[in-house]
Amino acid sequence: MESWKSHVRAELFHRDCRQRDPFSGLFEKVSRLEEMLTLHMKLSSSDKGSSRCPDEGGILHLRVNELEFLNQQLKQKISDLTSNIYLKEAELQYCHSQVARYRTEAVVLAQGASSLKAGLEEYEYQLECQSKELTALRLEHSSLREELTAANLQNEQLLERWLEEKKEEAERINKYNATQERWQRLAGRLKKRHRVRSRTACAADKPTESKTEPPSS
Amino acid sequence: MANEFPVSREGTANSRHANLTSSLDLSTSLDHSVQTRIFKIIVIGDSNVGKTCLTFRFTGGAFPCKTEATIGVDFREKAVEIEGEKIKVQVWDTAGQERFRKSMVEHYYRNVHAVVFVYDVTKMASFQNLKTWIQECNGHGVSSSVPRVLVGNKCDLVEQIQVPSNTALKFADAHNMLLFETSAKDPKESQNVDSIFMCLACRLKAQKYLIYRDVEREDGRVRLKHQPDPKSNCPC
Ligand SMILES: Nc1nc2c(ncn2[C@@H]2O[C@H](COP(=O)(O)OP(=O)(O)OP(=O)(O)O)[C@@H](O)[C@H]2O)c(=O)[nH]1
Ligand SMILES: [Mg+2]
Repeated sequence: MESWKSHVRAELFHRDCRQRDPFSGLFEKVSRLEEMLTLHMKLSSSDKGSSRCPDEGGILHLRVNELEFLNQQLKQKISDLTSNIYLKEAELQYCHSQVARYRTEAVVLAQGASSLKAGLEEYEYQLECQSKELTALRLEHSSLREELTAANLQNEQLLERWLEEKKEEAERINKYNATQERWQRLAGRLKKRHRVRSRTACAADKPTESKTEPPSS
Repeated sequence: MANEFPVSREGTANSRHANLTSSLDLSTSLDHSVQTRIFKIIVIGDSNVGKTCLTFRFTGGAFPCKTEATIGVDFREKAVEIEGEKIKVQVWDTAGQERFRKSMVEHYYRNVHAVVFVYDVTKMASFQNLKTWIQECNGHGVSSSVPRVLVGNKCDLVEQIQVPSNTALKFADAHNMLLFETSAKDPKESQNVDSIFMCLACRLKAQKYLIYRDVEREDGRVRLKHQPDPKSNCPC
């Protein structure tokens, strides 16, 4: 699909080269001659009243007019070009001012870039320091954690020991209480037996004493 | 110890006077050697209900400004006099936290004379857990004749009370216990705290033979259960 299009395009290009380019100068010349002819026609129509036949003076006259016309055209062209020059100068000035603005902008941006770069370097340095610090802290953290584990273990052991000692103390006190109670019971029994016995002794004493004692009367 | 007792032999008529003198000696030396009786009272309940503070209020007469969780058990003693008899109230302030008591429990209940169950009136859970504590107590062969009391502590925190008195009273009745609602912190309640332990001591004094029984059973001999002395003048 595309190939025929490019082919047609190429052919048209060739035709242009062959048929138009060789005549481009001719067209210009023809248009200039046409301009001249119209001028001559105008001049001749204005001279018709004098009904002068064309002679050498007339030709010169034509020539002068022709030159005047050309002169006019050139003046016009000069004034066009001058105004164009002014325009271009203004454009140029604008461009210069733009350049200056962009230059200062570029300078500012370059400064910003360099300060950003410095900042980046600073941050990179800080990052490095902090990562080092982090590593150290991690290390410390892990060692502290180990210490904590050890302390917890020790705490657990101490607690066990404490409980063990409390247990022993409780056992000791329980035993002491039991001994105490047993002893009290025994002492109580002894006391009771002793009371009974001393009562019996007293009872046995009384009749003996009444027997041995001489009558009061 | 037995050497301290000059055991008197059968005396003859001639040595009757000497016998009487030695009997007098024996009596005095017995009186001297019979030391103060000890009543072992354990204080049981959830952690943080104020067992340590209550026992300290009774034995030390003050509210401790700072307490740590009790580990295992703390022993406190107070000498009291009931009806002319000197008695040592030995209070076992037990740990409420399981990890601080696990290996000790059997020692708490061995030959215990009385049990004080404590809950925190501002914490319903501590009251609900009493069932577990009573179960533990029964599970350790504590006889039903061992006096038990229920103590609701922290009554000074009036605004935060969660356990209503009548609920506690019902519970205490159902378990045949006396109820004390008190505060270890409030100095005005100090006497009330004392009366918890004094009431128990009086009851124990009244049923002194019961105390011997457990010890005898330990010896392998079981004596018949004695009823508590009805003529006791216990303040409660
Ligand atoms: N307001 C108030 N606070 C109390 C009272 N009794 C105890 N406390 C507080 O309750 C907290 C626990 O008291 P403890 O006596 O250590 O509790 P515990 O029952 O012995 O606890 P464990 O030893 O862990 O079983 C402490 O901060 C005491 O200050 C009280 O009567 N009133
Ligand atoms: Mg405690």
